[in-house]
Amino acid sequence: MRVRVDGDLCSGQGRCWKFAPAVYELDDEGFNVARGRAIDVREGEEKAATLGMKACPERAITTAAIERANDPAYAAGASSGPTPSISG
Amino acid sequence: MTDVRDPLTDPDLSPEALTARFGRDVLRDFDLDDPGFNRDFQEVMDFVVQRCPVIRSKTGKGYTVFNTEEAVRKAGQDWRTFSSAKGYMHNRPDDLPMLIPVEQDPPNQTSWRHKLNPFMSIKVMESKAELMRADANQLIDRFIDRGACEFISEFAAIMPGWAFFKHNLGVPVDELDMLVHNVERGLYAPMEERPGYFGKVFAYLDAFLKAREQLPPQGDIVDAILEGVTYADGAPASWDHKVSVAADLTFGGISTTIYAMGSALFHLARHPADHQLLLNRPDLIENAVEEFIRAYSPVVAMGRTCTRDVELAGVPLKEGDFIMLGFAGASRDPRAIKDPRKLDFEEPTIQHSTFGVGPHRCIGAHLARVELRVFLEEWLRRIPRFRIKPGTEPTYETSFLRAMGSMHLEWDRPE
Repeated sequence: MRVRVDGDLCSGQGRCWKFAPAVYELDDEGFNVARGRAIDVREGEEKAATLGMKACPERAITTAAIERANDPAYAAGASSGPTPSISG
Repeated sequence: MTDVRDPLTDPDLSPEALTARFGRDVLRDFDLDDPGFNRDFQEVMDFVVQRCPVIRSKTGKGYTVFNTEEAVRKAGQDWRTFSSAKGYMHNRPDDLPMLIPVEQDPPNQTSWRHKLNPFMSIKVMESKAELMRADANQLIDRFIDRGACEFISEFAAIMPGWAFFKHNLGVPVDELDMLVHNVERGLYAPMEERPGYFGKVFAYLDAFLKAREQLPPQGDIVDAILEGVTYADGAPASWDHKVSVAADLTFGGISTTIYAMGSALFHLARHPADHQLLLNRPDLIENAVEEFIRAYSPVVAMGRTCTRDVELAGVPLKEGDFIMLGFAGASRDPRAIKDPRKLDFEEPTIQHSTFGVGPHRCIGAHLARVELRVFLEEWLRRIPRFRIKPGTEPTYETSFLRAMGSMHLEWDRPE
């Protein structure tokens, strides 16, 4: 499972972290550190990741599968591969 | 569930039908400050959200309130089109000083938020939970043996002020009553009196910041305000803006939290099953807080000014039009929330617009959550059974915020 955190829409609501602290990390200001990037969700964390995604009032988190092809972060290999990049 | 018919042809939405039902045509001639709206608040809001979610007001310069989750989210996030720089209050008095940064747009607003956010983050606020818990207990100690209290003046109006001023701003608590009173009147007094009360709060905070400037830095949010920010044009934020930042933080957190606390207890007093569930399962309190603030949003609506001709929720708007984002309605919008009038403490992902959406998302959201959680944990632990004093009911004041003025509670005295 791969999710994407919109760089403009994240406003630091912090709900994603509340549900899935192992998937979504917050910076000192409370924004998702993966703003503008995709996250590969580790096996076993999918349920929590989905809850965190659904709880976001900004709808800033989306499943990234459908947009992989157009995702520059993915194309550039910045966080590609089967191992988790953000949550690891 | 959602039933939106053409207001022109729906007989329920004719001016006569609405006036007969609500004492006013709430679709074409709405008024946030109407005493009738205060009285029938929940009934009007739920009707409007379900039947005619975009409503117009002719009061003053006029405004349009959008009450769907989607419209509120889209407009809140699109700050370029829906600007905060002309203020968030409907028919804003000209002599009211602007509140910074809530009445700014990015990038200047963003500079302030970067400066302030680290002091108001979830993790920082969680670290203050035990201080707030001690405050809650200190207040409960004052009246628990009496078996009764007036909840607003004896508890809810005090705890948020302590949480913010003692633990975040560091204002001496003996000056709080005056400050809280002026904040409250600044928000709910007749519109023409509000600037006077605002002025008193600004004057107090001006003196407070001047005094702090003479002291060594403490690394807190007050120092961050005093350091200030550099605006996009290269100029540093003025002294008046720094005072305004302190005022904005002050206005944001007191009356809103009072309403959330009062609404939570009022709900439990009227819903025995929900009450019993929280007594049995204190682990659900954190989740229940989300439901309380979703269903009983203290912010009714916040305004924006259109920077261009645009369409929102199918409604054409002109450059310069004043619109309001109906947070309270959006959080009870059946298009976004299943069964929005029912509170479900076991629903895991509660989504709501209570803290706003977009760059102006409430900076005190995390403080509010911790306050409300420890308040409910301590209240239900120490006064598990309570009731509304027979023959009384809570009193409210409503404008762009909704406030609870009083609520008399009773309980059986401990032996």
